[in-house]
Amino acid sequence: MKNSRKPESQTSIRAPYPFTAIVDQEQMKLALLLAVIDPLIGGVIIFGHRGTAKSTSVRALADLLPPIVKVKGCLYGCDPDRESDLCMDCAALLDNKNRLPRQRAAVPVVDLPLGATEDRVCGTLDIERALTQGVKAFEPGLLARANRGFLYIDEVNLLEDHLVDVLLDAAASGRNIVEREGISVSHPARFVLVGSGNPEEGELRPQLLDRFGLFTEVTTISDLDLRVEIVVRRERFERDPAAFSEEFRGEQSRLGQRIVRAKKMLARVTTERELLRRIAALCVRLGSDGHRGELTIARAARALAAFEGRSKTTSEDARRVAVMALRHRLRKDPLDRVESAARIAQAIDEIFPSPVRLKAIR
Amino acid sequence: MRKASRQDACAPRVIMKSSTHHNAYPFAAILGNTQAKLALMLLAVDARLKGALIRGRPGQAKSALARSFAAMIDARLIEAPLAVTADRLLGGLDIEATLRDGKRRSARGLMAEADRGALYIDDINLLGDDLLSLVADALERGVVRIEREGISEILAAEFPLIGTYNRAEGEVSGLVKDRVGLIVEAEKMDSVDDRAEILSRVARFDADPARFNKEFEIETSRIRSNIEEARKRLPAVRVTSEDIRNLADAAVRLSVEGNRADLFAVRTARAHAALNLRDEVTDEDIIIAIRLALAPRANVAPAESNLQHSQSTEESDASEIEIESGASERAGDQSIENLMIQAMDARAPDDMLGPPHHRSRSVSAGRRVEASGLASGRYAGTTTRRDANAKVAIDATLRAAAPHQSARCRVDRLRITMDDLRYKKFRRRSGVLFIFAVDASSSMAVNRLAQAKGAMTRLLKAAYLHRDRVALVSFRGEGAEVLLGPTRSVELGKRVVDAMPAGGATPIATGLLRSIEVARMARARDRQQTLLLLFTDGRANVGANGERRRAEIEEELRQIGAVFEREDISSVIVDTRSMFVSTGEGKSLAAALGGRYVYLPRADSNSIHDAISEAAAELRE
Repeated sequence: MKNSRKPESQTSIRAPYPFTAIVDQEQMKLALLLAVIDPLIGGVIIFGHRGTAKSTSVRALADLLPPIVKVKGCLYGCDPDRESDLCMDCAALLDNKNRLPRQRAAVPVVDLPLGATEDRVCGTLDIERALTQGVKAFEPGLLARANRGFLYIDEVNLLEDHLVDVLLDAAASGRNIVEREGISVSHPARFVLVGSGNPEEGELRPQLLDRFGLFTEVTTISDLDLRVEIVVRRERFERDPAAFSEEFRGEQSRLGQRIVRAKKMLARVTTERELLRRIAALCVRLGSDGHRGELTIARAARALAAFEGRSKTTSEDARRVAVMALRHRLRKDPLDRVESAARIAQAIDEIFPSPVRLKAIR
Repeated sequence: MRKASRQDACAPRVIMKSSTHHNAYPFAAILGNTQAKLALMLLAVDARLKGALIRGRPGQAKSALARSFAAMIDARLIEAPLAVTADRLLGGLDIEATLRDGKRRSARGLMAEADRGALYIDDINLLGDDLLSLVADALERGVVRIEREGISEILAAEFPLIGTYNRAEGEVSGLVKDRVGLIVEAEKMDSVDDRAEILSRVARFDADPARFNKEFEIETSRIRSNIEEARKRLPAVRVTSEDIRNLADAAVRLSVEGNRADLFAVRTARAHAALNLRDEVTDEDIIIAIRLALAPRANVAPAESNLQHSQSTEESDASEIEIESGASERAGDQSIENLMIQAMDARAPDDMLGPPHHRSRSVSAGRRVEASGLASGRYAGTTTRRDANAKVAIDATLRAAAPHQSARCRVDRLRITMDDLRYKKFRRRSGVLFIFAVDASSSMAVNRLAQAKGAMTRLLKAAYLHRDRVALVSFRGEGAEVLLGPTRSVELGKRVVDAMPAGGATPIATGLLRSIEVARMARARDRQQTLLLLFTDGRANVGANGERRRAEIEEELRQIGAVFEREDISSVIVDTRSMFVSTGEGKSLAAALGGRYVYLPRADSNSIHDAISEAAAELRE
């Protein structure tokens, strides 16, 4: 192809802005961190105005993630320690050789590009091999790449309905099943879904909303000092990304280590039965659909405790994550987010009495 | 160079190579349009401004500006026509090359071609959101990411975006507005002398472009070296945190959304200083920054023309900044308030401030409405079924044929049989556009508003189901205004209705005419069925042209009815008269408009909603 310029850097086009350099927006950052510590929380949806660091945060997150161990050479990044969840090739290899070769790799963060077509998302027939060798081979798509990582969808309200369906299916089942053009393939597709959207573009389908574990809302910052800081930092970053990132290297590395430690100790964090009961009571009181609400609160609270280095979950932990976990799940008037925040706050105050009063609910 | 007509723009892509630049209309010869020219020059100085949106009426040299500018800075200008499709914009499978080489080959899209050049989109307000988001993404990242039709690629795409549009046909989507640094107005030229001079220049240019260019050689060269010099100086231009604070302050007061605008404002100020060969940012630069980068993004009421009606104290009005005496402690020469006022004074074109006047327009040529063909929309899957306008989906066809090649004894060409052919399925945006036209005149205003609000909120909450949208036009006194452009946002809807003013005479015709405009604008962008919901008691007492005689008013309404029929706008007239004996005005209005009539003695929101749903159901079939 003539005259096409490849972008300057190899992978990400520009080095990402450091996560720890992002000004304010604490709720959003917390939600992302919790989702990383425990992927079972089920991802985050960030709703808010344009220009409020939504995409910046998600892309910056990738930098912080500890590496994973995968089967060497596997297209899907299979986990050699999860024998029940291998792709067909790895399963065959395991049968043959009785062990799987290992390799460290970065956690994949797949940014769903706008204009992506279904064949590229799910994977399809490898045309070249078919044309040249007459062989029907599968060419994996983005879902394969995202396995064991994150799938980020910017402007999620603009996403095509049929693509949404494909993604929902995979996110729910953890597998991608392809049946097209004479190909029949199934492979693991466990990823954390992170989405961002602008409320001005309209509401999200409740089925889509519900797919996300945590819901956070961001607004334009009006505090002048913070705004100035945002501008100053951004300009410095653009002028010299390497130097700027260097300034934050210490903080970035500390945060990265906290995440690693939290993930390691997560399994050992306990939650007292009484606290679990109160969490359930909260969800019953608010009429949240099914059990996802309380499961999410419990998991998020535990992840928070782990993040802060504690081995026991407290009611304060639950308070801090409740709004994020429930705001998009209330059965009555599910699309009325403003009122639901107030209702949740009130219910929290009643069920988790605490001397610390919750301030602004986002 | 002949000015390319719309026809040319829709033909196979036009790439202007550097060689043709010599005969482009010289930038230096463009009269007036100082703001637009300044914006383009600033863009040349600092590419991080990302782009400029130029708004104005047709025939104000908007396109000429873009082309001349590209010629002057020796940048390749790529024009994206309105009928552009995603695969042309992004890139995708190159059919010929793939067939020829037996390997997957990609074709560059327009954005990759604009790399290190410039991208020009005329009528950018009419481009659908799905395509605009592709452009916005490239502006943000400087690359195009392609994952379609078997191609997976990332290509460099750094380009400033120049978008021009006619504001009367709708505002540009926030998607792109947010990613572009400068937004300016094309100037209206009132002076007869100036206009005569333009005619003279164009004539001379048409006669002999090369010679005309020579006439302006010196001026062109001066501008070029000014820009060069400014580019060199830019890194050293100093801006204090006081300056940044002032700009952020202005942004907050104007309720500008997000933080990108702050960055653009700072960059604009510095670029302007550099262009004026200064080493530090002064008040003059700050004013320009506010004028070009912040004021156009001011968040007044959701409708762009509604400057007089901001009720809530949260939203600042671009034309009425409150001066807080003593509240500011600026170390600079002028307080930020003064700077803002200076910035505003100079920029407001006459149709922005001032009372909302009649916008009744005659039926326009509608040349843009037919931009997309019948088989259009988002490429969403393939089918083996062939119908009248089917477009072959090459990628899917190749995939279907590929595995059989060896069996078909393929020698040097791909053998495709009829069975292999796959056709593209397109998804057009379906759903209904509900236009609420609400009589906000004094009689019964409060009740009517409550009813309309109830119905509207309910529709908005369910809008995601069918991809419906809702718009709100209110009419009272002598005019009508669009309070809410087509949207799906519940929050926006509530906010607008709560702030809706009421009182005055009842200009039903004006309200209907305004609604027709909304429908047309929406149609040009997305094909949607339109259902008008008119909340009134039918007693129009003033016509669209201020007429107050019954017979004339009725005639007007009949004509509007004819337009409704031509434009296929369905309607439901909700008679909100709660007297025991209805004098039939509502009914005759419904007859004139060819719409359903609904008289609800209870007029509770449930029955209204049911009536609306029934009408909508018919449309969806």
